[in-house]
Amino acid sequence: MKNHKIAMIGAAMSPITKYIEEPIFDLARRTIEDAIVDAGIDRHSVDGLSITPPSLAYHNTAMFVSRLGEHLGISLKSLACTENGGCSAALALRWAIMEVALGQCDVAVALGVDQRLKEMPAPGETIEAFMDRSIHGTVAVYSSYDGAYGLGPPIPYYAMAAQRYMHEAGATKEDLAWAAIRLREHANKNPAAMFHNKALTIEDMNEATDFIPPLRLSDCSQFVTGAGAVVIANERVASSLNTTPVWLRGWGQSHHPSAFCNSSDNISRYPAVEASANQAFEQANVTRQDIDVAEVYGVFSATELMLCEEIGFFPRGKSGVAFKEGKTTYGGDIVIDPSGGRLSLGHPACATPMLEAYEIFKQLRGEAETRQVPNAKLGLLHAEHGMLNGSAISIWERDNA
Amino acid sequence: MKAIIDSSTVRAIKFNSDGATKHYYNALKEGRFQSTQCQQCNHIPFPPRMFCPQCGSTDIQWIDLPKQGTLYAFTQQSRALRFNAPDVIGLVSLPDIGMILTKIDAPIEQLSIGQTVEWNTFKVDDRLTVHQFHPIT
Repeated sequence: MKNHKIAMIGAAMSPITKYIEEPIFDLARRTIEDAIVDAGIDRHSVDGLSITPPSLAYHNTAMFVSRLGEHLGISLKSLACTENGGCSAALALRWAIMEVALGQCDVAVALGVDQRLKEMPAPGETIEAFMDRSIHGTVAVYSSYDGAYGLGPPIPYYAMAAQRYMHEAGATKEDLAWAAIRLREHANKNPAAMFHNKALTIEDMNEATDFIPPLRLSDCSQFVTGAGAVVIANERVASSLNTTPVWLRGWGQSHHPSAFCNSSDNISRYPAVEASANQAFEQANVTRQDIDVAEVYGVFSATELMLCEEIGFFPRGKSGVAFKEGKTTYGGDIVIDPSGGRLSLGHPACATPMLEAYEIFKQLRGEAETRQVPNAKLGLLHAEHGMLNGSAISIWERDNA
Repeated sequence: MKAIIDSSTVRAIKFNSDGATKHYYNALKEGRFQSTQCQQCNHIPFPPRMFCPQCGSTDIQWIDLPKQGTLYAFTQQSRALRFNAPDVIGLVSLPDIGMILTKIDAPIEQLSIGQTVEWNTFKVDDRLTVHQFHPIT
């Protein structure tokens, strides 16, 4: 962002729950309204809306963003729907940033929303139709080759990545356990988290049996329901408000030429994460040590550890010890996932990057209440798609005026 | 349920095909495990491609893949949809080609990283045959 200053001026998220009783459309609309109220702006000053619809749960999300625009009753200059797996909502955020940077919009709202369906098959749907829909969905993601092997959720891929990480980098199951435990401790400070007030100890992890070896159930995130929205504005709007803007300092994005499993190379190394981190840090002109707080898209405990290493917070194989020794929590070197992270905040995939953005915004504004990272000035947020084949990283800074 | 899953899988594979998919599965049905090789730069991608992702050439030929590889990683799904539970799956490294996701025809207790494994075919139903690997001792 060399020529245009871009600010985050407001954010909102829903509590993370397993299911919701209300229509998802209402959840999406309300989260947008909450973010606009948080920004303290006239709702009609919003002229951009970019969203990631709950496409993992629903198949008919065509024109979801137009319907939201109509429902909100706001005239817009730009609308977009972004989809690329786990990065989807980060790309909705990127769209809002680009429209403001290009001058097309003054104020753009980005939304991510996802929902775990309570009834599968859906009411009135036959088991045949449901299986057909599910299998088509997974084969589309895993390709006509890997798709024949009966994978539903991608947990086996991540389990094998964890196995290789342990094999190559010397990480242990205890290292994995500490990632899960620290995130749970953070969730216990966050009333919005799915796993708020549910203790998780090293004894619990040691006694747990393997779910998909070497991963235990508590090494995995749960796909749940939630929404997050942020408001992006140009310098003129951001500076006119009586609130502290959070400025974009750097953005990095990269995609390795593989879709789910880096089969040409090494499944426990993620060059796209490293490349996107390098871009973001170079653009922001700050170091890894400068970052006070980070939200990373670690959907499994081992992934959380590997991500911290690819981003450059810790050397290869050393994250587990850092988590255990408290370097990634309050009083340590950097607070990683104060929200509770994917494992303990809960993981509504199409909303997750926006939940991360919400957390970073609140932390940098000093509004994170009992989980506030003291004097948080620089924050990093990360999203990935596939099995970390692609990555988007941004760095944000509290206005120091 | 198996018939429903098999039918859906066959249709999903067809729907999500690229230019090489049909030949690839037909070869497996005939007991041959194949990919493509670029006739310009000799690169062998997996999955197969009707062009070379390394040099861009469309001058490719189908080749038989090596019979043996090395077990690179493995796990199992206890709630398997496609095959009998527990469903052992793995990534096998084939020399000069890379890792291939496959079914492993052995209990997980008998597996270790680096084992030599060999492929044969597994007939899912009349329309679909896949590759699977087992350790050789």
